[in-house]
Amino acid sequence: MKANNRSLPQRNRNSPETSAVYNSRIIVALSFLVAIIMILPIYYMLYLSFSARGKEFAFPPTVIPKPFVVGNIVQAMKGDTLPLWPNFRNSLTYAGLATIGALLTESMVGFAFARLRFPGRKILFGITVGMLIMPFVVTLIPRFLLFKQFNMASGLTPLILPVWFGGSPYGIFLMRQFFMSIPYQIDEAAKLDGAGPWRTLWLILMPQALPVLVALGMLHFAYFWNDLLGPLIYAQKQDSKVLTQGIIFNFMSNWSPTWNLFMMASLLMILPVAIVFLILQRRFRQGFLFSGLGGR
Amino acid sequence: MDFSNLIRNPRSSRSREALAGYLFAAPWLIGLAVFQIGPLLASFAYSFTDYPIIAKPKFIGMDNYSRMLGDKLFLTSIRVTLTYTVFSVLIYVVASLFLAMLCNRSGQGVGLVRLLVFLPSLIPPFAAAVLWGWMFNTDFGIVNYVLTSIGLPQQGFFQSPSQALPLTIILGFWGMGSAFLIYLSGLQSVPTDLYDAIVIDGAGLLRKFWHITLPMLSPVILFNTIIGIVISFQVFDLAWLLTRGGPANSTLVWVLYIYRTAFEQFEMGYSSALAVVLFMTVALTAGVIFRTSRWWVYYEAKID
Amino acid sequence: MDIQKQNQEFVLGQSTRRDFIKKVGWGVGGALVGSSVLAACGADGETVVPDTTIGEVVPAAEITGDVSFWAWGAGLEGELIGKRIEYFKSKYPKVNVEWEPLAKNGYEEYPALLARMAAGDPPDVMRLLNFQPTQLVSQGSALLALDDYIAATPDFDASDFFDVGMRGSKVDGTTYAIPDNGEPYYIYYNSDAFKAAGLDDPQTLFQAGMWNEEAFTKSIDALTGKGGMKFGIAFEAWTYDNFCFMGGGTILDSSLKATIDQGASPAMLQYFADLVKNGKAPSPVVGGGAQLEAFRNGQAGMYLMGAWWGGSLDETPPGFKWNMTGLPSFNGVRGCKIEVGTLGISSQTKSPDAAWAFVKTLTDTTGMVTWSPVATPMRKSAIEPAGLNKVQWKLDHQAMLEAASFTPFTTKGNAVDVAVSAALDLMWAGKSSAADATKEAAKLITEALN
Repeated sequence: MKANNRSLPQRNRNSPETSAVYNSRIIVALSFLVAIIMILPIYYMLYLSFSARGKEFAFPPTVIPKPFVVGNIVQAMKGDTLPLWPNFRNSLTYAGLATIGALLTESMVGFAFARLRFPGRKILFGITVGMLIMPFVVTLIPRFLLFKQFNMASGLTPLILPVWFGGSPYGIFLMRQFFMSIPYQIDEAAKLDGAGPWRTLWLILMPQALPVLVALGMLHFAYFWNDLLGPLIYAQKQDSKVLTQGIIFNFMSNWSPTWNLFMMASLLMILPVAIVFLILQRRFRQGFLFSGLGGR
Repeated sequence: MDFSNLIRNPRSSRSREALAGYLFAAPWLIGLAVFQIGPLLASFAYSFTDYPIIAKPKFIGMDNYSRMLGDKLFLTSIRVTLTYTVFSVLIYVVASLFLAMLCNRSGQGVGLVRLLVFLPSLIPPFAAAVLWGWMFNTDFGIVNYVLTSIGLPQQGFFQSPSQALPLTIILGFWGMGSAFLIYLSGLQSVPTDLYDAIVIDGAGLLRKFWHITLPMLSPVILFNTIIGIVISFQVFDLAWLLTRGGPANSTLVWVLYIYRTAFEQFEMGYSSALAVVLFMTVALTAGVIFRTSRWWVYYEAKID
Repeated sequence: MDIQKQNQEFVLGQSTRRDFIKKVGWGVGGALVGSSVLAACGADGETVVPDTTIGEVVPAAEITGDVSFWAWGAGLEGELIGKRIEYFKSKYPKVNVEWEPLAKNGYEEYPALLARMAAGDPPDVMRLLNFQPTQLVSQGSALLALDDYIAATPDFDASDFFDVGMRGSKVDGTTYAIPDNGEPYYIYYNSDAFKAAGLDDPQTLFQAGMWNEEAFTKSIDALTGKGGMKFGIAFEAWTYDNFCFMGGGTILDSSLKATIDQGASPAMLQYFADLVKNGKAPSPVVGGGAQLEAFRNGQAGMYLMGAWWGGSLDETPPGFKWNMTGLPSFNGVRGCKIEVGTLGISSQTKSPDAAWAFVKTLTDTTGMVTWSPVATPMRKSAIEPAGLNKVQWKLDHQAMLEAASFTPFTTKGNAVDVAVSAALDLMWAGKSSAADATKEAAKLITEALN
């Protein structure tokens, strides 16, 4: 048994299921079956992205588009009517800043709900979940009016600022659940070392929370990256339009939609997030996060 | 209730703790007061008015609420939403758990599989709608093409009032990347020593799952269940982009009806009333699940 | 544990709970007050028209003001709108025009427009669709009445506009918008396929007055029979007004009573529903451009769509020779739907003169001709010089415009559309007859409008 009860329980980033059973052929085969099912829409997206204009939906369909237009990649990035580069920059700003703000706030608030006792904690948490429930439709107009009062109803600020003040109920909820699943011994160990809640949170608990933070961060980023309705209402000026708007404007016009470029652009839009995901999840496997954080 | 805390935390440090609690929650409290409560109360207030958005609201008392009782479309939207929610939550909570477990290993190609499971949920809704719309097109879609080539009859899919909703529910399968990811990170946080201990006792797969994985994951399962319910009740994007609520209102989900009454019929008052009822329904459901959670959720550290 | 300690905790808990409730109470009260203040500060429903120089003659070069323009337009459409704005600026150099093209069209961007109106900061000039002027005026007086401005503009020439356009711009007899473009519906057809199937050219038939139900049916049968095409014609369910108008049927009468279940409408709808049932036309219900692609890919010999679409075929030609002609006449009647596009001025604009100058310039003959490649002009004087080398703008144009009509607009926006579509969906899916579906539609319309 552990003589030193200040040691942290081993949290292994690698799953324990490295046994033969889990790598059995059945599981691997099942994984690939699932992969094939999941990839169907992506495959169709690829198909459409490399099709020629006007021939995207040629019937009967073929496995590889004929003709296969590689030039779509460059064309999609260039944009049809207006270049997409500023939109890309705006999306990056919006999603990036919002994600950072969200993670910071949500960790703090989730920690407060999970670890700190203060009156009204339960009610406030109920309100958190309650906020998740109100449909955007009815809060759309009041929020717009509110931002108008503060004269900040245009651009990306009304989209980013609220996120720094409270993130999203989803994230708060998740961080709370996560912190509640960490044994209290860790906090006590820190307290014995003289750390207050601030240091406990940032220096002790957050490193533990890294896998959850990464997952949450990815989800947040993906959400803001794909957000259309918010920018549609607030980012009216050309120089604050984001990628989602840019793609629709360029390729999905009523006049003559260019479906192949539309799909290619949407595909390219997914790429940054997918790449980050691949990099991060490979890091998980190596367990680099864990070196030197105490042991037995 | 852990009374030992009383000894360790005399009055002064408890109020210090309370202060710390408020300080940590401060950004959220500010945001709540400024950006959330105001609009929420405004919506609640609007539900008692006739508010065509471009003119000022007019107080009409409970008229909106009494109108709801006789509104056939409202009942349709409830039915559609409930159907959607029940099945979607099953997919969201259960299927994604199994997928996450499948991917919770280090072995050949697991990174790729994880990516492929997560990727479809990244497709922006406006692109996904075009994709699915075309794949399942009655006359030209790939799916029907394959079906007819092997001799099966052509399906109506989004054209058919009876198939549109089930199809929309099934398509939600590709969107569960978020639940999958959360489960995955939860699985990776389960301490190995627990598994090691139980293996020594001679446990196989099932016991490992039942006695270790499930309890350790129960906070995450609760999370995904609540979230799953909340977001299924609020489904909008796919229904709006794919079918606009059709055909014959078979995919008219609650939020779509709210949207329609607000922005197409300029009846923000009635729309707000619908939203309030939706809010209370979901809150009730979530509350019930929360209450019952104390019996099946295991927290390593829960303070009262 | 100790009872004493338990009680202490209980008492402490209670007092802090009481404090907390007090705090919450103040917080909620404050929020309530705050939000009601906000709500009250919302859009002022009264129309306050600032000073206008109506009646005085001010030279064009002297008119000043700011005009923010709310309009969508990408690709060629956007270019041409830009050209029209340049034309305006050349005549009114002192007016600042601000135009940010919308990402999506005016229907999808409606919430954003409404939000701006609610906040008291609407755009000065708006590009509007069919039912929008009626809805905006009757629900909130959001548009400026223009009759006085028209009267004070000597070179406006209201009679130069097609009557159907002016009708679509009026609400209860008062003009609230100026027709910008009016798109009738046509039959686009694959002339190669028609020739291969041994059929007469539809355009020729139309001009000879012989493009009727018989010829139409014969064409469909031949295209799918001898011609070997999968479908004779492709159309979309949301254009249902056309099917009724083609045979002299209506959806609503002028007193806004539902008439879709009477007269020629049910039979007309049944005709088209049968086309789908018998596999002569693809499913019209779900959009996404499938029907359009069917025509492009040579799967369907004809395509029923609005006039605006012809330019798109020009821009990306399909692999065959195509042409367009008016809708066939059933029951000896000729009719089609027209999509009325207008420009409206916000009732809260701060520069009414500049806004009016903007609207009247964009809709004068030159303005209309400039954008005729993508939009059907609503001025008779713009037809002759109209866009590029498109035969279709002149061909049969006057005939179709005279035959065009629209379902009366209501205060409830697109409520009639929504109701009818829901009822007809069953018919298109083959689950109901047109007679039953139209009865259901009439019922839903009546419910929606009351």
